[in-house]
Amino acid sequence: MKPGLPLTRCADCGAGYFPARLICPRCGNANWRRDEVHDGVVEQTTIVRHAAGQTEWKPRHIASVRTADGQLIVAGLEEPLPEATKVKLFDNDGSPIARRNA
Amino acid sequence: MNAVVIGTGEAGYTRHPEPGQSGHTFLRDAIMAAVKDAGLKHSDIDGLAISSFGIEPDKSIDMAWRLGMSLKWLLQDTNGGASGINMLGHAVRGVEAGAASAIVVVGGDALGGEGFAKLTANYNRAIRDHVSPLGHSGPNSLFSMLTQRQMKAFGIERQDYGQMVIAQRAWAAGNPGALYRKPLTMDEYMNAGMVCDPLCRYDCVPTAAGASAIVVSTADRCPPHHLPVRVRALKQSFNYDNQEGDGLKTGLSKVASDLWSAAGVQPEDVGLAAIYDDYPAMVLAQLNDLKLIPGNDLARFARVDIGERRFPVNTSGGLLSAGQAGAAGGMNGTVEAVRQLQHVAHGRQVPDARLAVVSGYGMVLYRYGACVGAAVLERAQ
Ligand SMILES: [Zn+2]
Repeated sequence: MKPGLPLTRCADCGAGYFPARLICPRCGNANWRRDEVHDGVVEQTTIVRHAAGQTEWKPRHIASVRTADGQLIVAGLEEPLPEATKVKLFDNDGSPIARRNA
Repeated sequence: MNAVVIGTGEAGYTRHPEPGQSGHTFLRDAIMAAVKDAGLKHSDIDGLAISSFGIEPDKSIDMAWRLGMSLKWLLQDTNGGASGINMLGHAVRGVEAGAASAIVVVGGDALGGEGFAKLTANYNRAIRDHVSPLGHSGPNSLFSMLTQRQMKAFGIERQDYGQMVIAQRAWAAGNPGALYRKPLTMDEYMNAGMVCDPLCRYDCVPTAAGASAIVVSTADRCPPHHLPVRVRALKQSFNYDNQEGDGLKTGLSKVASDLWSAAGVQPEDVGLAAIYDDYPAMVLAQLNDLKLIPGNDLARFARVDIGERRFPVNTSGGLLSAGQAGAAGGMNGTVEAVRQLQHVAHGRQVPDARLAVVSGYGMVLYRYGACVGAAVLERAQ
């Protein structure tokens, strides 16, 4: 679990993306640099109570988070958080995790 | 457009396939039923369009071989819920361009619960790498949050979605091919177990095994026992917003004006709609994009127009009651609309059905579906 969500940022127009793209839809170029975003706000949350094909399933909390850079991402929560909670973003081997900003 | 739909066929739509039944056999059986309904011989078919999540490692040509078809035109479609409309468009243009004279269009699967879970966890790189590890368990979690956004934006209550689900179940009672036909009450809906809040199990499509097919050809090939159905217009949109919106609009919002002007009719002229219903929220989103909901009042339209069955939506029962057989989900609405316009939808026939709108929606890239299309179909005289 590493602090920050990795972004690919267009070196030409500055737009940041998660997940990574191949061509920037804003300017049509493909010059990328790596960046990170650390902060976000929870917009919606849900509880995954059942999963198809699973018999032993522990309910999971998932959120739609708007990052401080503007990306809308799907993040895992380690505890239920209300809407509008300010969160710190982490990268769990590719999966975004959001934790309450203490 | 001069190409017409001259036959429909379905197979399966069962929860538990019998020994010997598989995705392949359901696809075969739906094709044979559609060709028979079209009054054609197997050897008359010179084009095939197929969509299935479960035929791998076979491709469309392997299917053509196994199906005993020698063809001039072949297409395999991977657009999920939008595949039916996409294949219909290609088939119509294929016939009109003279590339083929009789094309069978089919979608189907027999994935089962485990197969469905495997499919959705590995749907694409973005889902596999960034969403599945969170335990998202298929698209339910993503559409539960989209549903919350729609409820907030349009003042919709759970009961409003319930009215839609109950109405579709009432339509399903008249469809012998539907998986669930027993009437559903609001109590049952409101007390049903949550799958992914606020989605209860009746808001999520039941997985079925089966296939749906149509035959696209020219009107002179149509058999005497029913009328052909013309495609007045068909428009599509792919990745219209790069997944950067709230998902409450689909790409149909970009093409609806073109669709109606190409069709030469108005939304209010349409007598029924078959709208891709992976979730009730998406039915309302697409109807609104298609300009079928007056004054953006989604809640009222759900409650009154759909709920009281004043405007017929998803008369087969839709995927929510008829069941989703994988890639057949993109075909179910087209088959139903054609049958309604042919006046052969026994048990659920909309009186004097003349014009219908059909939509397909699918392929969650990251947060919601990115492929969408709609067609205006007409009973040819
Ligand atoms: Zn750029």
